[in-house]
Amino acid sequence: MEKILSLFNIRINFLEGRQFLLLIVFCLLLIFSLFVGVSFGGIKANVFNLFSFDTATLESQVLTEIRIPRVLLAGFVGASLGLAGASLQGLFRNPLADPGLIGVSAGAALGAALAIVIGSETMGESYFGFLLLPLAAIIGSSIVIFLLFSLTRGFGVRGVIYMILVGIAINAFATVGIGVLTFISTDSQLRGLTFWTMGSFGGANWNLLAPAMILIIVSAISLLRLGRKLDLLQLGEDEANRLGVDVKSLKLKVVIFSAVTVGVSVSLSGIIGFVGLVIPHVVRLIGGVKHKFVLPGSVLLGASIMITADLISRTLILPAELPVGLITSAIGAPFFLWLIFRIRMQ
Amino acid sequence: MAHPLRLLVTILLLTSTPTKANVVCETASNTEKVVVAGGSLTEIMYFLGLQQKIVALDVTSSYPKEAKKLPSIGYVRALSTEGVLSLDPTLVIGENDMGPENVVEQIKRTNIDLRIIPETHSAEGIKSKVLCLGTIFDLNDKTKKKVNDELIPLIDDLEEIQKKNEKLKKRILLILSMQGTSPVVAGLGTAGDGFIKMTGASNVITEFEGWKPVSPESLILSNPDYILITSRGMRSFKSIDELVKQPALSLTNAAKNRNVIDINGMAMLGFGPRGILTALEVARRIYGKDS
Amino acid sequence: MSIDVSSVCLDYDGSVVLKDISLEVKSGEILALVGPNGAGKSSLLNIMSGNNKPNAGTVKYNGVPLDKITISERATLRSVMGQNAPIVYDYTVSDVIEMGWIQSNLFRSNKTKFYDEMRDVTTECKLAKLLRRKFNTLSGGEQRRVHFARSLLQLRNEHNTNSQKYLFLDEPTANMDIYWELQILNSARKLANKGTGVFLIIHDLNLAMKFADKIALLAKGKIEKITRPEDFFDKDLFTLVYGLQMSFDKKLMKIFYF
Repeated sequence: MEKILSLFNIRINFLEGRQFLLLIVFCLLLIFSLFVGVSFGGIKANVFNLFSFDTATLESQVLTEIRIPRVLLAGFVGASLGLAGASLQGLFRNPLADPGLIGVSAGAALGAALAIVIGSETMGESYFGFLLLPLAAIIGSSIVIFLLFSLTRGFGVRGVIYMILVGIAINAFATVGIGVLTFISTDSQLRGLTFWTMGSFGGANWNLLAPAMILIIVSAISLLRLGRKLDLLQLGEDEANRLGVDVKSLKLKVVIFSAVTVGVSVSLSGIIGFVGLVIPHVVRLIGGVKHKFVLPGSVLLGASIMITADLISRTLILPAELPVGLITSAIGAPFFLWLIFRIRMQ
Repeated sequence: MAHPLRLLVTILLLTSTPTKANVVCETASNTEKVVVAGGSLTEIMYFLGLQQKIVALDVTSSYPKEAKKLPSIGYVRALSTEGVLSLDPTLVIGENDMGPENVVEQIKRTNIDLRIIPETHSAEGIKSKVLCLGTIFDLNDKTKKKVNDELIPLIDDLEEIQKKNEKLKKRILLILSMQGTSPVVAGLGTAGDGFIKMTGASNVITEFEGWKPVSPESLILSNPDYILITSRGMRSFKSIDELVKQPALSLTNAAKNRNVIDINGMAMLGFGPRGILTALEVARRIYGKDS
Repeated sequence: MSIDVSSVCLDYDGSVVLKDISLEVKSGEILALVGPNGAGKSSLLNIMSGNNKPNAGTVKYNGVPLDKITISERATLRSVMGQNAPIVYDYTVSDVIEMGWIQSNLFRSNKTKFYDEMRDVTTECKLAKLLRRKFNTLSGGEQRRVHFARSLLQLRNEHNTNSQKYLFLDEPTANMDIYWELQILNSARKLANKGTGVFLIIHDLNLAMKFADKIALLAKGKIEKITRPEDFFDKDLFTLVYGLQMSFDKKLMKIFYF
């Protein structure tokens, strides 16, 4: 009993009571979003009927094969992007870091595009093919992060603008790459490629979802444990080192696990912008800047928002569907502008 | 909205054995509520007088004009599973550009009657599509009559023109749109390529497949006799005069002789019944009033 | 117990930054390092704190070479009040001081002990009223006091005894008003009296004279002199190093340079 209590003690160490309560509120919000997301859609379906044993109805088929995987995918991707955004904002000590803005998503998309166009030539429809895409996306996003890192090293806090510029360059490069691949692709490959720029959860199915969820959960747990160290990093790399943080190891971990979560997300749902940028800031505005709060807060709020955005995208213009990236950008873009003004004021 | 009882009748366990291999043009058991994903298929539905059965269609279904009033399932390559299912369709017809893959799979797995009508980008292909739909909707007699009365004469005319001009084949460049100053043109295997062949002409582009932008130099080398351009592509210019002055096109025979024809994109590339008429009109213009 | 610096050399970009530096920071003693700008004082501090590696020579903490001490262990042995970079996010003063609390894998953190130490340190640095304020809204001097409090908190860990720990202060009086100049140095003195060794980089010769047990003069990368304050003044040497005519009042123990 003592052990459990002290475990609990450690969990809320450096986390004010208030922040802990807020996290619980976020949890409830997520549960609510999940419930609403699964309950609404094109087909009328009552979630509670799932618990009856009749699996033959369209209702339960729609729920278990179509809607639940989709809502779960939206939640996991939202959580990934929120967490990656918060982690990158902490690592680069830059409030404008976002997997999309700094080219990380584009790198993942380029990797995926390469897998689609070139991979299908070499690997075809083999069993590997199913793993090739997410793997290529992860490698793509990792390369970009490492590039960003070495190009902005030593610029620290002064390099806010510089990092965005580097991100723009990388985005442009990835766009060119994808453009070239589009050019040389066959018609069916092209179909797959245009998917990347829009972003959608329509491709959710259990085969892809299960391994993706595992990868994301493992990466998320690793990132969540780095909260305190990311706080210390805000004092500067030298100072963090003096406080006992192995800065090299910290950088490596954040880079790798962010790349994995972004890579997996992009490979399953295309590029969805602004979530990684906006969610951590909303979390900070609500409850404070400590990473032990911001990281889990971004996971929970990111998932909730994405599930909601997906719900809107698939019910607003039934029977058609809006690309979910449209909705996240519609909310995210004005917020981004406001953020820039706020930084200018300081 | 979905009626539970009817759904129970038409839906089986997802984990059951895979759907029977439907021969695509087999008569459908229930054609009361049809979702159409493909402009040419919608055109054919109206052609055969079947339009009341349509519950929803995709955004490429823009002809005839009345079709635009029906509910839209969105872009044919970005469909929504639940969106389609929410219409409670008894039959879904589409072409092979229906997507994304996952959505098509999911619809198939609910055992809804889904037919992918084959496309060959030719006049014969159009005829087959019409006949296929005729069989699906169990309208064989009426369909055959319409085909014989309205389509076959046009196809015959086209064949005549083709035969007459075997040796003097005109060379056509088909422009989809402008990408900056480079025109995006029909390569091999595209609907545009098929349309050009339908008119009895030959495609000036033989080096690549698909829709791609081309450089001015390569256009001068290929030197088309005629330029076909979609109406949407034509909107990039104020007039034909402006088009023929484009650096990419100005030195071609077509530009020098102002041999530019602008046509509605779907009419040219949709490969519905009016496609044959359109091809005939173009053939007559190209080869003069010989036929 | 001491930090032993032995024959340390540092080159940067081809030129010599530090040449053959040897000194000792003993437990309970304040060693002040003075010298003109660009002499290499901060570079020496970075080597002594473990942030940088020297090209030659060794640094030992309590007999153990620094490179054999892990990063987390080092944090339990010494803390640094340095020239700090701006903090991007809106941490509160309390958050920043808290960052000094070393949480080790060996110990499970005791919450009440933490609160006690925080209270102590906050009171000593008279920051109680500022705890809820956002760090970025403070003046330069106030921010430095917060960093000082943090470096004090870092030393209050149970991994080592007081006489095994060391405090590094890099120009702690910069941006401070005269009241706080004295307060910080008094705190350092109190810490030293409890056993902690203090390494103090300071530009004000007289403050060094007053508070340090030993003073070292660093000029152009070389240690010119390490002595007790009484014996520190050397008219010719100082003129050479500082370019100023100076005089010394033995009774008042004050150096006059204007």
